[in-house]
Amino acid sequence: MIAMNSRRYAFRATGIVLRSMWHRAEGRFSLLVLGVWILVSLVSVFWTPWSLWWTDGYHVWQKPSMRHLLGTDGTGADVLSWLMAGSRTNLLICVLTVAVTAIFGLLLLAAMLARATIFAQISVVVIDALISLPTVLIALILAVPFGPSVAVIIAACGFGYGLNLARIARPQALLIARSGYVESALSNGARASGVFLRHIVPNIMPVLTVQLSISAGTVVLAESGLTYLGIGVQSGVPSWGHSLATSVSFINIYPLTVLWPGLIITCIVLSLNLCGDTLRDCADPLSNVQLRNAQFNSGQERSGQVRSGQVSSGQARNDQLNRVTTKGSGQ
Amino acid sequence: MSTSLNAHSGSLAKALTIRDLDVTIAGHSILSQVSLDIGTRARVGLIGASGSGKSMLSRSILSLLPAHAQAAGSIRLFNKELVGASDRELAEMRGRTVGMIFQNPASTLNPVMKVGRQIALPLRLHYNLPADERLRRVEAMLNRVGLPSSMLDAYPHQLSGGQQQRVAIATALVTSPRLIIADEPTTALDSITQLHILDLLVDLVDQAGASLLFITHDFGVLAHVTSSCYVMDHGRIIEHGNTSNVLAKPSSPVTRRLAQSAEELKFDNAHASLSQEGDNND
Ligand SMILES: Nc1ncnc2c1ncn2[C@@H]1O[C@H](COP(=O)(O)OP(=O)(O)O)[C@@H](O)[C@H]1O
Ligand SMILES: [Mg+2]
Repeated sequence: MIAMNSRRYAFRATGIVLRSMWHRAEGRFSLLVLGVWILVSLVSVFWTPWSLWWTDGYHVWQKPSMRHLLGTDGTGADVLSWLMAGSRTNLLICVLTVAVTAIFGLLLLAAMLARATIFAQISVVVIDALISLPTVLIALILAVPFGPSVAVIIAACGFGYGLNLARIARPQALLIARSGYVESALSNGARASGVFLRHIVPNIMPVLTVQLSISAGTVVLAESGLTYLGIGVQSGVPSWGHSLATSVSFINIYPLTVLWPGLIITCIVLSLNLCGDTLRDCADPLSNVQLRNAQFNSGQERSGQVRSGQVSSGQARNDQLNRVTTKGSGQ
Repeated sequence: MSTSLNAHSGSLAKALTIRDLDVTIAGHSILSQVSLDIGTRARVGLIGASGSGKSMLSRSILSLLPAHAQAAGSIRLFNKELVGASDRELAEMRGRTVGMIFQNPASTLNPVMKVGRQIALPLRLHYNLPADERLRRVEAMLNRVGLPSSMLDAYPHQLSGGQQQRVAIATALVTSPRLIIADEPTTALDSITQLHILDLLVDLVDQAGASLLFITHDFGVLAHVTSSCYVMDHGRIIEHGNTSNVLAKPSSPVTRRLAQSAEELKFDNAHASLSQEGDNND
């Protein structure tokens, strides 16, 4: 019953957050763009206007027409089809990089906060040094033994952005670690891991949201850069960076083919950043009144039952606990 | 009001026995040769000027001293030695055998955690109850501190200072610990709210049959809550005994000064005129 309740609550809270985002112009714009992105990625798995491997040596660098809505590239392949297929690669990279960034960044942050670990002493200097390594360099180092691949982009960017995340969230997390409510949690027997997950992470959520959305946007840019340098997506795998890289040397002659992936990337990066900003405001229970008022514990489903029922001591498992509850119900 | 001597504290069983406790931080002595006893079901006060080491003593009991602090001596909680106990034993004891109430309710509550979850935390940590059973206990506890069930879903900033301290008391008492430490629980509150909270605390502690270590810098409050007390100054216990005796015939100048300031506040008069009013006006 409670499990169902909490799932229903999570569902309702998500609905409220999305609705509040939709009520803002920038939120609506970003939700629309990201929605189209996800939709196109799914569609492209099953259908693209032309096969990716269909080429026509006689009709290269075509202008947009009814036959090829965005024209053709240097091999005569359909640009729209490649961009559609590319969106799923970029979506995958984006989602996985954000996941790696979040996990790595939070683990690092936890290690920096734990006063027992050596991380706590050496971390800041080391992390500052590591942050100064550009992701390009990390990707190069990884691409030498493993060859260029989607995994190299995710690993290099996830590592770099994770360091950044930990570094930026650290001062705020340190303040919270010294706060009264963490002291109170410790005095209630909470372990370090519980304190981190229940108290520190929820209270740095705004910073995390913004940083992760910036990471999501930056990795879309990084993908095109790394792929252009030949250490990103392998040739033959569709991605926006791939579309850009194969046409960019002809920018002076056939500018349109460069324009499309460029436009898409710009639009996506903008939406991701706007999405992060609106999400930060809308998912914050302290500033979003509707979310704050979403009832979980004393929702209508429960209250009648609780008020009518006495506190049951039958299923209690501990004498010490029993003592207090039976007293409570007797009052 | 049950401010009289605890009738049932005569037995030999001790909730807490501290012997020759020394705490040093970076070579500075914070506590020296502190000895203190709390009987079961007794309400004992610890009074001293601010900076005298009262909070450090309460932190020592929970083994939550600053990282580089060193403690020597003996702290026995229900006959279990805490100095040198393992992290596991200590975590087990915190929040289960000992409940702690802090000075500033606004900062002891997690701002983004609903009141219901906040109170449920110690239960979650120490008892493996089914979720609906846990919620029922949390709700009962919330009602016992005089707050309506609808506040389970409130965030701390939606509550007044007095209500926040009620939530903090509920959190400390929900696991029914046998010793409650209250570190200046009403210092951050106005004097009317202060009396309501003190009465509530005393009632709950007595009902649960728990012992109370009540820390304050205010003799007026101390006489209201405790029957015996210890006076601390510069990390030492300088005087102890029956609260009214210490208040009436302070033997050291420090105690005299504290007692004098309590006289001026005249809490008992204030309480007499307020006790008729409702209990939930904070
Ligand atoms: N983290 C710390 N490191 C070193 N000294 C401290 C620390 N915290 C408190 N102290 C010192 O310990 C003494 C006692 O402080 P405390 O127990 O908080 O006093 P109070 O009686 O007001 O609760 C003070 O003199 C204070 O300077
Ligand atoms: Mg103090």
